[in-house]
Amino acid sequence: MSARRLIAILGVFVLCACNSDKVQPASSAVNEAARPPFGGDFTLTNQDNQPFRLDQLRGRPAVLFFGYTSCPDMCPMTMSRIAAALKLVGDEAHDVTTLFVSVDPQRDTPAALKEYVGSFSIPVIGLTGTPEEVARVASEYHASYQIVATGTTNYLVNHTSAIFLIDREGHLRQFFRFDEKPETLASALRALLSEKT
Amino acid sequence: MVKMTRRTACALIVFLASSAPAFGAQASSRTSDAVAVRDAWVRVSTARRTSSSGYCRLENTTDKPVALVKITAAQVGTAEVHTMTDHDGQMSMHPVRTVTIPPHGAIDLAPGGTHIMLTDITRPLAIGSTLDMQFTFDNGRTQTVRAIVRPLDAMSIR
Repeated sequence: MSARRLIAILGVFVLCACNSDKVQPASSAVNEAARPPFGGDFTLTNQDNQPFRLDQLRGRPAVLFFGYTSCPDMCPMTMSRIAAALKLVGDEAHDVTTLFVSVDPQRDTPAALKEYVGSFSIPVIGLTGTPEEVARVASEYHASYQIVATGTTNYLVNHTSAIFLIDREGHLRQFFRFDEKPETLASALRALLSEKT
Repeated sequence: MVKMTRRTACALIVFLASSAPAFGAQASSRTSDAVAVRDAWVRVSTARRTSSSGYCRLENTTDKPVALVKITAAQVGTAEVHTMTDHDGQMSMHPVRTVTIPPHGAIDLAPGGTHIMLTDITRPLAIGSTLDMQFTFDNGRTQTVRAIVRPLDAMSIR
């Protein structure tokens, strides 16, 4: 077993162990001491084919989700829930950046991402990169993904479904199931927004 | 000219209502069938993104189980019912061979759960347009189900 494979498995284990439902109670403020010991800065390419660094967002919280544009059900549903949560947050939600990191860099070119993220009711930054770059970011966030080979270009990708919340300083603070209630996500986002840099 | 009585007119209206394809959110298949397929909708697709997903409510109006065994649609390469499973936080989808609707019961094909997966769509599904799908059941009946095309982030037909 390769070291990368082992790390990925351990990552999923940690994610699973920490995220039986959600890391924090829905109504509590975000607990600095309980923040997940992974995540971090990264650089990828955005939908305009420009470099994007996470540290560009310093001072603003972010929501991050790993998915792919051909994902028929779960990814659109998750983006819908994120949008619903941001709507519940209200005007302050303009300070939150939503990031969609593709785990299908082979098909998800910047142009494909541009079309995709433009389909949602909220501003979304679509991110892609080389397979190695995407794998590195996924590994940093203990996310895993696996292409389901079909012998055609119309394949599925199994992937970690968590919604990650990143604070104003770029630290991963919480993660939730993809089907988490928008109210719970909104509560956690309000807590992050209430923190000062 | 045939002189239409009030009773004949009412009967004709009932007949037309039950035989014509249904539109929008009211119903998506003939209510006279063993399975009423309601609130059918699919997500938008594009020339680049040729996959989509479909949802509806299946209501068995009989006192015997009825199973959905096949779905087809023109200009859609493959239409399959899929379900999602969670393996240690990693979600995966798997085809489901049949969907059995219990007697006088209902099954919802809904976002985040068991749903219809449409792949290799050759005609992009535009928001507001419709897609006709043929649902075949194990009783030998095939019904046309008209689904409305909704935005990518829609969560229901409304």
